[in-house]
Amino acid sequence: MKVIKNWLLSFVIAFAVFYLMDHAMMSMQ
Amino acid sequence: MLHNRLPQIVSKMAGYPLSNNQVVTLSQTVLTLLALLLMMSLVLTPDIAWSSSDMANITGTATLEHQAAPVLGAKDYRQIGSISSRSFVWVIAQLHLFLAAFVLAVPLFVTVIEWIGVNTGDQRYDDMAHEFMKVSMTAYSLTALFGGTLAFSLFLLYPTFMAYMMTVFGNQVLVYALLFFMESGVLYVYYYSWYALRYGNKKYVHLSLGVLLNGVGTTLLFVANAWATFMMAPSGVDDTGAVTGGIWDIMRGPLWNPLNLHRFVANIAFGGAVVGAYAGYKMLSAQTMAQRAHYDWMGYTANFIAVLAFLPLPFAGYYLMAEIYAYSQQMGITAMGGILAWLFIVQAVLIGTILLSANYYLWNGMARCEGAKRYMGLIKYIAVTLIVSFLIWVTPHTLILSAKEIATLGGSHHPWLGPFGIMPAKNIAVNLMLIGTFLSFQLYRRADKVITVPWAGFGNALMVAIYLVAIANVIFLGVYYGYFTNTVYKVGSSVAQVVSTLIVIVSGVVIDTMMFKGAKTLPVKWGHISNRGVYALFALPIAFTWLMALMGYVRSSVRTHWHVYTIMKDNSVDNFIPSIGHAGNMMTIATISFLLLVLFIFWVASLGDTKQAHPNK
Repeated sequence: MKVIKNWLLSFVIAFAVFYLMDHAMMSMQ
Repeated sequence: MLHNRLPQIVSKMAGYPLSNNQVVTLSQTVLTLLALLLMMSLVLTPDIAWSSSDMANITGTATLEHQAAPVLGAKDYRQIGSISSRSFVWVIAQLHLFLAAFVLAVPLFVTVIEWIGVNTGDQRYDDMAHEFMKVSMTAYSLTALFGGTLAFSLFLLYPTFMAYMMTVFGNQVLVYALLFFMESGVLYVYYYSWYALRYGNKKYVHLSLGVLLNGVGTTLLFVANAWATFMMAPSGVDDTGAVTGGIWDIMRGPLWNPLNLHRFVANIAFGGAVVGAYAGYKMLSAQTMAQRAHYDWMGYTANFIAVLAFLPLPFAGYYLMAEIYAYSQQMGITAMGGILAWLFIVQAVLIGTILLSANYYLWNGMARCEGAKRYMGLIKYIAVTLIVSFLIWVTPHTLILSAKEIATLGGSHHPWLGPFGIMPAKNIAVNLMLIGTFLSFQLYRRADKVITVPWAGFGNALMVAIYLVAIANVIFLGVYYGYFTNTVYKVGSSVAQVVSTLIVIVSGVVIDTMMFKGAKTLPVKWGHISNRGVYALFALPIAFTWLMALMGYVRSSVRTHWHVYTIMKDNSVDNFIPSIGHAGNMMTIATISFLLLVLFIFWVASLGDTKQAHPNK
């Protein structure tokens, strides 16, 4: 169970970080 | 002595007694502040001097000559016998630049290594920094000799052009000379006081000297860059070439800072690669296992510096090229889509060589540690990624072909050249190669550790997720914006691609640093690397040197038939772009000459440790 939670949380964090970064970099220009 | 009475003096000044530790901390802080003040004054003094000359121009008491650039004729050029002046200056300038890049770069990482030695209390770092410095000392005078030769040959062979450059830059060239007196003075004091200023406060004085040396060296680089960027993109002059601005307007052209950034970072990578070869050379000739282990560690550190500085370098290059396009689209297309386009394909081959060599060295280095077996399985995936990306990067797009070549190729445009030949495909490939190289790096750093923190499962999952999402993001950005939108989005999305790679690098370093807390360290057997791995250390500086010769030629020849772009025409017998074969030969002559000089430098550096035995014993 803990393993599933680890992976799920990791991917949610990674997706959020990269989505926000894409958004920031494009709106910066 | 003052040094021993310092605690009493400081206590008296503070008005209450201080412990010895507090005095040491206080004096270190003061020394650091002094070093910063020196650096600031160094950077600001010329600025203040120049702004006052700007004021003089505005108020009409200008001393610079307001005259248009001369139109050159045959009488304005000379030749040495039948040697082409361009070829002669080409090789001398290139050798000066190789050596200058090397001697400016070495003190940069030597100061950092020395600081690491002070911070960790590990004597080995200090010894290594000193040995790196020894190698660059021999190169220092050679650099000055080539600089003098270059200046004389330019004034001899291109007198009128140089007279115009002197009119434009004026006293700035004397600031350059003054900086050189400072550079030499600080360099000799820094090197020869290494053992005199060894412990405690004195060590901080020595470190401050190192910081000052780098402040002077970097300023030197920026001053000299202004001459090259003025010739590419003149500023501070009107359309006829008459000086209209102060020296600050002339120096601060559109390409000055992009070139400053690119050269500064590239120098560090190049310097690391050259001293890596020195360590490899000493390691292969080592007589004892202890020597071999010492030079193995030194070679690893040098390679670490070279790769770390190399990772952001393609982005600095992309920025420089984007600024060239923004300044003159014609100039950009000449470089990347016109007569010089093939050279960018050769560049991709050389960069591929550098990345493959660096990765090969890291993979071989894993043999030093038993713990690396856990990660050996991932190497093949990194290798495949590197090879496929490399092949996409070397795919050409627009080619200038002869009729025979078109017949062999079956047309001037193979269907694969369309999608794989343009920048979005190459941007994806470059970013994936850099992510792959960083993964090699991270695996290598984890090879000798057993991680014991309780959240190791989550940390590893997060790291894997960051890698996978970053790779997906790089590919998505490249494909969607690169092929389905217009140019504005295509160039805009490359920034997000770069940041994706940087997020991987930064989060990799941060997560690993946190996970390594309290980790068990497995023994590393320095010296236990195959000789084949060491050969990769030799491949790196050769590829770097060749690459600098290649792209230096491109940077210079984008001016085509101009000495100073749009202002001063080149009317010499050499006012044409040479064939790629001829240019390739010239670059190779410069590269081989430099490598021979490097061998001489290595030999001289190790000569000091050789002692002849007494004949009667």
